[in-house]
Amino acid sequence: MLRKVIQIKPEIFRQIKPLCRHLTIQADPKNTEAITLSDGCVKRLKEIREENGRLRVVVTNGGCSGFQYLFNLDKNVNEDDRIFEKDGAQVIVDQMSLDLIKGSIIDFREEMIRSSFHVVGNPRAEMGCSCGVSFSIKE
Amino acid sequence: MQILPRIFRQNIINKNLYRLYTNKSTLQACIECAPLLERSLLRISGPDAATFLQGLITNDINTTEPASYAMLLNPKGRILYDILLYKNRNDDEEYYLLECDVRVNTAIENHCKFYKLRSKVDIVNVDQELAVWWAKYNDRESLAFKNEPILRTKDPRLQKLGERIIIPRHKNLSEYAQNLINVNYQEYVDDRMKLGICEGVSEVITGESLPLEYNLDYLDGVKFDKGCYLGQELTARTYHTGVIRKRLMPVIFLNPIDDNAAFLGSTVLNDKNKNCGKLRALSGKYGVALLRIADSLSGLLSVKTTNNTEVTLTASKPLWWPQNN
Repeated sequence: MLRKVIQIKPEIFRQIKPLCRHLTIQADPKNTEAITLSDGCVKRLKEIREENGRLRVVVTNGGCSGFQYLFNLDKNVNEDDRIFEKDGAQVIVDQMSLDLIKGSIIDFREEMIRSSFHVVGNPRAEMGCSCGVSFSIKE
Repeated sequence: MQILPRIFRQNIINKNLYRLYTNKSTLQACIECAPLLERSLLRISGPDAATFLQGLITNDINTTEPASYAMLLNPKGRILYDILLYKNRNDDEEYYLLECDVRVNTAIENHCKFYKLRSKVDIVNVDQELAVWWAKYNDRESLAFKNEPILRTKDPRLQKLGERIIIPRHKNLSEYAQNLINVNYQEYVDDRMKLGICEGVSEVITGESLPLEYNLDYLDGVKFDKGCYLGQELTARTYHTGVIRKRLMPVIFLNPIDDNAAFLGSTVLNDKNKNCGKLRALSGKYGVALLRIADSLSGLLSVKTTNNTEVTLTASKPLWWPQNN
């Protein structure tokens, strides 16, 4: 019995590690107007970039708390877009969405339930709904 | 404070005069109507209008055919505003009209614009162009229009609340149909009180009240299978896991009240002197109170004002509530 527990222990650690990783990323304190890309995000973007261009982050209305994040890959850049770059990986955010997420970090998390991009540490987000899709804005 | 009884008297005189001038057969088909001056309209149009509203209101936008009752909630699940929503179309496009308390039409406009972001939605205050009228009849068939109004529909909450009609602001409803008699707005308020229905920001307190306590489920104002909307989480959780112990109920005062302001919001005590709720609306002899159902039906209730006047009242379960409650 005890042996079994010990045996699966490293397995658990391997799964928990990526979950904890995002906690150690800090947004650049000097740049609250910008979006920071985490290393995980850069790595993932480089993997998928060849075929689909840049990652676009959009804030839309919806969800239980009023606002939600949408991620998609986009080759086009519009007039009101801003591009954030780190080590060759690029993220596009339009001006309206940027007002709601500036100062946050874009991360890529590999979790058991799903692996996906996340907006982490948004200074303007107040609370999320329990499904984690939406958030509300501090007035 | 002398104004209200005077309006009442004037109203009775008007009705009696009308009776004198009309013969009995037309009197039976006579329909009372009044402009709802405390209500205002916002026009919401554009290709994303339905999706946009679906994310904000408690009711399902797809069941708005042509009207529905709903509320706008804050992210924590408290009521911001109670609204009625109408769906209409003109030549080339479908649009929605949002009926709300006139005192908060700008607040609702801003609320919508805050959540609009990039949605292709136009939100316009049409208070100056359109007006909401109320008509009360025994038989809906008797309300026949010679000119078609912009929109007419049964009140989506309860049949007893009559008809809602939208016409241009500068017109009188009596130009649209025969046998209509203009009555005072107060008649509509009294009807609401008798049924136990609150409406508008002075009765439905912004940011405090919970939608199910305001009978939103009984009044067909919320759908639990429509997906996410602002404030959905608490509302759905309360409905599925909890019991709603407090609800709005109609109350009758043993003596009519003439000083509404002194009583509004006062605590209601039951015969065992236990606090069982708050008075939310009143008009003369009738009122609506948010009461703990189990504590308030056993006997006489009382309300005390700040200047120590005490009045006695009774509460009852309205007939339109589902039978098993």
